[in-house]
Amino acid sequence: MAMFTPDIAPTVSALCDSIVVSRCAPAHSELREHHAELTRFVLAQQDRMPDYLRWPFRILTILFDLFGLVYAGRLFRSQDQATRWRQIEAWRTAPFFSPARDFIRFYESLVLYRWYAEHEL
Amino acid sequence: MSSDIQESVIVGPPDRIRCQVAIVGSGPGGSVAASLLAQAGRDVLLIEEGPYISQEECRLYSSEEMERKYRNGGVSIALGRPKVTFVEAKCVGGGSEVNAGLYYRTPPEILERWRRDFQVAELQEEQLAQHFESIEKALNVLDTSDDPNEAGDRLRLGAEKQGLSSLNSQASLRPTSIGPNGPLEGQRASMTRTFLPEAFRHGTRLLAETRARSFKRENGRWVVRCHHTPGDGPRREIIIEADTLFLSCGAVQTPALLRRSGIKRNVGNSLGMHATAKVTARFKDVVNLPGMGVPTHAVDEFAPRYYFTCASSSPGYLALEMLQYPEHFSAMHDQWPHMAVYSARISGGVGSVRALPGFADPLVRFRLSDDDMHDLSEATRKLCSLLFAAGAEEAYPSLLLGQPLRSPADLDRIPMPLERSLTNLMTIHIFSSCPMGENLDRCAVDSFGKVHGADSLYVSDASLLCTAPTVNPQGSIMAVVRRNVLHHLGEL
Repeated sequence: MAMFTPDIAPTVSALCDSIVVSRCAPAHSELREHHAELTRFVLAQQDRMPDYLRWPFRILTILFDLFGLVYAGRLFRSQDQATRWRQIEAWRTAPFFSPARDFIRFYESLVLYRWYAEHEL
Repeated sequence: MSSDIQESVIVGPPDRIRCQVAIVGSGPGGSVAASLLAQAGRDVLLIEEGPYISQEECRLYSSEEMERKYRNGGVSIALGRPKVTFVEAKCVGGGSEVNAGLYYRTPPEILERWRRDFQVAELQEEQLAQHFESIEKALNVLDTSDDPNEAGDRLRLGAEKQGLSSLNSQASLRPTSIGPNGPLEGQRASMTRTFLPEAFRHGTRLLAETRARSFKRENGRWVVRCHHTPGDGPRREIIIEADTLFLSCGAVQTPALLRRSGIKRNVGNSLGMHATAKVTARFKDVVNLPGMGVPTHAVDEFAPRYYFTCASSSPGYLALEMLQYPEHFSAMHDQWPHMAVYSARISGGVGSVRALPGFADPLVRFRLSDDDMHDLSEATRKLCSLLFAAGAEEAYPSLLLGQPLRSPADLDRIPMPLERSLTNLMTIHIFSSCPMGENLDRCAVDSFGKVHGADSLYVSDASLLCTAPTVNPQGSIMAVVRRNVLHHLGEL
């Protein structure tokens, strides 16, 4: 029996998009050109995590997407840019739940490292 | 891939391979061991979990390198309070393929401590000197005091103004020139350029993309169960039979393999690392240039408790450091040539490595005591102070402080001792998980790397080092392994 594996790619894609837009102020064409590769990198890196952390992190990614329903009435991936960023900030500064902070830090680290490692400033 | 290497790589291996000596892991420890054993006429099989990727194929410090040459894509974590992220290489040549090539001998006071506390025999400074000399010749280790790097020079200047002892580390390079725009320019003398070609010339065979899962003793031989996974091809089980087995998989994977194989006494209980806090400094002048690499200057005034060095300041790594300061993140867009990253690394803390049933990756935990947190705070404060003395206009410690420090008067904002929840620690130096010596209460292997209570089974990597060497450990690993292998061969 095949294991149910929810597709986290749309959530990760939306996270990459929001982090780049908010932090790196890219030109529209630049973002469009590199977004797919950036998302591939982040998903591939997540797949390379130590195996005992990989599934908890996937689950956290799904929970983050679902949290959008509570936070803004829509899945994170379906929110507009400003709402997405507010949700990211809410998790980044979550006072009593360190996995939420670690989750945002993990994605921000990968996205920003990749973006600046591959682009001239 | 040179013809020597091509001829040595086993492609399409049979289900069962016999050899005199199997070495698991091809980093600095495994490569030195392979070279010496092959030169002594042994039939050597080198087993490496990662692929062979030449230095020319992959740019240093690039994201491609992170994906192709690092274990877990460079995302490994020692769990604990605080957490410490660490990196391990997973490619032929191991850590030497991805590091800056800086080189140090083990400080004499550290050797003395290893002899005293761990009862390591024949480890006087003068006894180890011949091994360091041999390694330095093979790696072409150079003095870097003519290195004109601006970011490194700031560390030197700050130390000078504060009357602190500092030094230029040596570097293992095959130089092409000493460049005006950065540190020594040349090819890093990694294992794929030095010891491995020598090993292959003397008949060593390489079985890459092969993970040793466990081993056991059968009929006087070591039988190693491996998974061979070439490229994207299907995984196959392969059995290696060897008279003698050397484990050189690094300070995490070696204890994990030993424990999976039922050998647990003093194995994986004393993991050490140089836990590192970074500080990014912004100067008025330009200090950072594209392709600058890692400057070689270091401050050793406070060793062995802590040590200051330069770090990679490429835009990708700068972005990681500035992540702690979201309100100031955009400053790096136009200010990055004025910014450089420095490290304050401490020697304290102890961790463990455990194999988890059902998982391939071992669980790594690490713990810093209150005294260690005090050292970390003091080290970060002193590094910031030094950088201000060197002309820094702002300092951004990798701590959750919210705002950068703008003058020495701000140093008190770094809590003493440091709160664990404020830290963002990393390390590239891990060791001491199978310490050597005759002290059976503490040591996993004897003074020459042989596993206590096991025949023909040796450890030859960073796991051996009894405690933190305080300096970059690669020189220590290679010299100790050379000593141990020559002892094994009866040539000492």
